[in-house]
Amino acid sequence: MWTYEKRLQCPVNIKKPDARAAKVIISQYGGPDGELGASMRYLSQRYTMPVRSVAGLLTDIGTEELAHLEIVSALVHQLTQGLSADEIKAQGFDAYFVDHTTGVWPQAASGTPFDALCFASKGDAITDLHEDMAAEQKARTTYDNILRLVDDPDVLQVIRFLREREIVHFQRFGEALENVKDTLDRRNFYAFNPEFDK
Amino acid sequence: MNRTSDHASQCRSLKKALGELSFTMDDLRIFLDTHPCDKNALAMYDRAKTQRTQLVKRYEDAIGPVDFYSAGGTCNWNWVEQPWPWEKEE
Repeated sequence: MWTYEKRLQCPVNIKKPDARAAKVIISQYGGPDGELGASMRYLSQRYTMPVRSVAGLLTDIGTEELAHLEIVSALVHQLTQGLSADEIKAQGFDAYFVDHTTGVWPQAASGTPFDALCFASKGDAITDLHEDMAAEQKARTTYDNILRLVDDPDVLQVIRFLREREIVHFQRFGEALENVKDTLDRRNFYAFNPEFDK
Repeated sequence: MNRTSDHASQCRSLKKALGELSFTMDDLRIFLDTHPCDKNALAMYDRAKTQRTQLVKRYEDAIGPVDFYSAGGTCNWNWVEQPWPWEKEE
């Protein structure tokens, strides 16, 4: 069960619309390393996670990623409000506009629709936690790339907040991996899969 | 300062306070998931929890419900009265 809170984890208040920025930021909504894939990855993996505290971490980080999904959506939404058709064309947003107007839809910056193949739920604690650590770094790189492409301080402070969370999550998943290894055979972590073998 | 702008600035500071305190708890929560015996973090979470209960009460009196379990009203459903969080501030 989830309870919705009527607030953003990091407030978004964009004063200057900029569809060009929205066009790259949308990748963190529905792109290969975006927040939609992030939340689905952790919330899918948790069911078979054998260590209860790590299942808790997946639930809590998966939930925080849903909050980040909302923050990225708010950025895309606010950056595309109040523009004329001419401005949309001049800012290179016309290809998106023709299909979605200014509705928010999960796609990568390249236009590729969201694809569940961008994340894994492998049913193996060691494999999944490595996937999670790599995912946090890939998302961090994407935010770094966005920071190179936008210059509005109202956008930058939100992107910096999201980028920092990737680093914190990476740290937590690293600790979780050590925690899982401690519960396994230390001479051979691969002796059995705790998510399947009993 | 007139009454309206006084209320507006009170709402702004309540929103800021709730955001910051909730974020403190978000960060502590995942820290505790991997450090479940850290006494300092446990005490900090406990303190924040008490503060948040009081803050949510003040927030809901001044602005409106934070979550839908505390929504209500006598003739108007207050859950849908205030702007959604993704809307631009006026």
